[in-house]
Amino acid sequence: MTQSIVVQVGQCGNQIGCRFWDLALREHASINKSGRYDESLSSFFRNVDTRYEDPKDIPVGDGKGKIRSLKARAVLIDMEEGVVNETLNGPLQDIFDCKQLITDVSGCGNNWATGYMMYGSQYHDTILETIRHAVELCDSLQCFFLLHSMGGGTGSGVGTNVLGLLEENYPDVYRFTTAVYPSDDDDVITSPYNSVLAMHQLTEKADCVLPIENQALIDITNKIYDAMPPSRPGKKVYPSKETQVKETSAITSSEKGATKPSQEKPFDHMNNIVANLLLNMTSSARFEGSLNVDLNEITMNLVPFPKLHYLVSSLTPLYSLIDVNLPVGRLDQMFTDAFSKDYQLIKANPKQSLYLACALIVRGKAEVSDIRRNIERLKPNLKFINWNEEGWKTGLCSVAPVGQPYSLLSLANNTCIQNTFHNLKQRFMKLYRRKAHIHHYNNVDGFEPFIFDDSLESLNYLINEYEMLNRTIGQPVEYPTRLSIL
Amino acid sequence: MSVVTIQLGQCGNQIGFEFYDLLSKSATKPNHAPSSSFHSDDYSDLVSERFFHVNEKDKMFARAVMVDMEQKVIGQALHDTQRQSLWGYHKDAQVTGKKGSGNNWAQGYCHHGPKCISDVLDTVSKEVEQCDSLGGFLALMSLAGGTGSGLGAFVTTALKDEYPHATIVNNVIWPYTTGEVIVQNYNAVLTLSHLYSTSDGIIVMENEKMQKICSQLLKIKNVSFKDINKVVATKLAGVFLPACDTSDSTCLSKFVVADILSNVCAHPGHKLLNILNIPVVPKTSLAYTSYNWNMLVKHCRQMLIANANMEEGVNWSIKLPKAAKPVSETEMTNQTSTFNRSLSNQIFLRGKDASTVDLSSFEDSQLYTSWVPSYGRFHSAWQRNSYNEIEQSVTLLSNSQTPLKPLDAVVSKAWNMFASRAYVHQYAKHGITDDDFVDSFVALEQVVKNYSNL
Repeated sequence: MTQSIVVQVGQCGNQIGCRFWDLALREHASINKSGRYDESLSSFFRNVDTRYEDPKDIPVGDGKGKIRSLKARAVLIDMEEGVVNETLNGPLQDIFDCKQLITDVSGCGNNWATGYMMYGSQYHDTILETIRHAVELCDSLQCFFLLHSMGGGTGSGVGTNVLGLLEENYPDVYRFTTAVYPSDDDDVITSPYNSVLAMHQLTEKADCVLPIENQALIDITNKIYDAMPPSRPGKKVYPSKETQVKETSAITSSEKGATKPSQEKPFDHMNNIVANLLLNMTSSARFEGSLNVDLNEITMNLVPFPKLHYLVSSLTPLYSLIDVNLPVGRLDQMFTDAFSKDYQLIKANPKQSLYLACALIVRGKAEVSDIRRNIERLKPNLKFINWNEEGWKTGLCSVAPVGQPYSLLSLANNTCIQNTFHNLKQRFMKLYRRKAHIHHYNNVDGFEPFIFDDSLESLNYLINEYEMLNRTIGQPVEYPTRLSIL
Repeated sequence: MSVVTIQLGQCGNQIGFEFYDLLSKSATKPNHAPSSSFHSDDYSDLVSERFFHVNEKDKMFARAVMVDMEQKVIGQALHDTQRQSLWGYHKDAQVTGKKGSGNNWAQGYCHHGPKCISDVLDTVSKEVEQCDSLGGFLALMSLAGGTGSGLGAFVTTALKDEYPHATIVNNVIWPYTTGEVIVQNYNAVLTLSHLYSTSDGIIVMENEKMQKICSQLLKIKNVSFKDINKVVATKLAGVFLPACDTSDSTCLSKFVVADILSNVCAHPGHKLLNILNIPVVPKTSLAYTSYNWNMLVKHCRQMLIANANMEEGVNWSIKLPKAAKPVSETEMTNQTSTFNRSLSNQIFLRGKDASTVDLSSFEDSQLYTSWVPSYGRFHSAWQRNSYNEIEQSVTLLSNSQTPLKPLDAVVSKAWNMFASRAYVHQYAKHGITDDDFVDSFVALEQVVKNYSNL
């Protein structure tokens, strides 16, 4: 089986990473009851014999060896110490060691250029060395998962610098990026600059980007809160047995993880959503199923043109109900919801835009006929591009996520993403027209003013491409003439 | 005479498992079989010899080579065989890689193919050496994925080079039309065009139709891939289990892959085959159902003419034109468009009195295209031993216009996508150029034309 390495950069990246590792451990613990180090564990974790001075990796072997000590296949990078230190003192401290960390004390001051140029060159060798160390511990590395935000300085700047290093040094290893986009009312003034500068790098160097909008996460979290039983005082709810939400089943829940409820931090619920996105996306590569979806199949199926690799994702159901006798209808509801705008991890409505391709990865108690039925049912309401009218990629993984009987991850290459890009561009232009704050960037060694223009042009290119495709909606289709045989 | 199976990719390995599981039941001695059906020792020995080799402890090992670029599916199949003691796979009869082909035909064909072909050929030759005589190869694969299709096409070519005199049949699983894999039409076009030049016969099975059989005939509520694979296995077994020519009274002939293929694939331009079988009923209602040979044969013939995959809902109004009555030019074209014309058919009857059945209705010259000589049109084979717990069954392997429609659709969709240049860069990464694509399109357009001209 193949392995993946998670590279988490900046405050946001490390917080998400922290939730990811907690939930990944929880997931494997609930499946792997025997405590053996098996193939599926090996994709994200190493098994280490810590009794030696210089700890040795224990290979999976016949899959019957016991777990000694699990170490995450991760590299933690932050230019401030706060979050990484918290992680190291928290319940997950044992799965990381100091060889996996790169930190500084002074931060990037919300400046992409500081992160990309200054820290990028200062830590160039250290980053490469740390990553090489993680790579050497894999016997068949398939994927890097880069976690970072777009708005700040470290995540966007150092994060995209690392992306470039990965592309240069490991061109054959897939690079998936989970990028958190700032909300409209983001308190970092320079966040539009940072995001646009970072996006240029993502467009050029990533194989696949999963954009996530803060606002979408907030909305989903609120939705779940509203459905929760009234544990909080003052909230008036009349519980009926059937509609009660099983608290442990919400995708924002960290119940049964290593982190106790008392230790939960404010963003944990939101970050759990992103962590679940990663877990579901990799589920079929880690566990058995009757229709596997390996990670390399995701880019193969969802990226028709090299630069249009931004995927809109949604996770359903958000929670399961206490009533465990699930009628079939609820399974179908899960499919319906996956296409609703309320469930997307970016603020957009895929139903009104054009699908270039769509992947459905189902976990748990569902069969191929369930997928077929739902595709047939939903297809009439969705618009697909004329050369890919049947652009569905489907997967079935037999292992359900913790606390839920089944789940669905939908990944779509949909032109609705251009709205997010368009908003970002407008906010960027508002500042850039007045040349506000650009001296902070120009003052950084190695930064040149043309980088702004190049990045803007790259963003314009993306917006145009998606818009042109979107314009084909409703247009008469001219199919190319087939080759004729004489 | 033995048959060696090559199971390629996830689909091929899952089907292979169901295939051998079904065969193993025919290969066991009568006391395991239902009492009502005739089941002789000689026959089970013959089945066993054809598909298994047996060790000292009487355990049967499939004459199969498992190939996948991921360990997982093969691991699952090995695990499943351990649940029963009847048969197993040979421990060394597998070739695996660490990274899958990622639904990319080019990765399977250009990357994995050259890298693992010597391992595959070594493993195959070990299986071949265990056969007293080799009756041909059966390759199981899908068209949609990357490993089955890409590596499958590469392995088929290499096998033909290595064993130029052995017959190779490819059983290809046609993906759902509404997409399982988005680049499936590209993968299918590339696979079929490559197979067409090397394979001796390509059996086409459409997932969509298999699922319909499961839900409508077998009354399965939530159809799983396992159910579908069982249907596929039943069809394959109906053809490849031992049977004998109607002229052979001993019924222990050496009628194997090569003989079957020379009967139905006489022309290199027409290699696409379809399998019809009847009856298909749920196991639970077997006891309450009785059939007679004439009715089964009649239904099977109508399924063929009406191009139906199931006896349920067959259009009985489609009829062959009467030969005696002179028909005008316009009437002629009308009729060709309504009934499914064949190039050649091979029927297999399995069960009591199978040798006595009247099959003259299949010899009607109207059923066949005019240029096939009468001796090349129809062949029959029988076997008094039944299989799959069904007392009397009819399996028809036909080379007819049935695959034309799905093939035409795949070529058309792939061509539309190719015109937009979508996904082409993913193939170019591994060295498949635009010219390679165009060559494949040309080859398949030729096949489409061959079949529409029947």
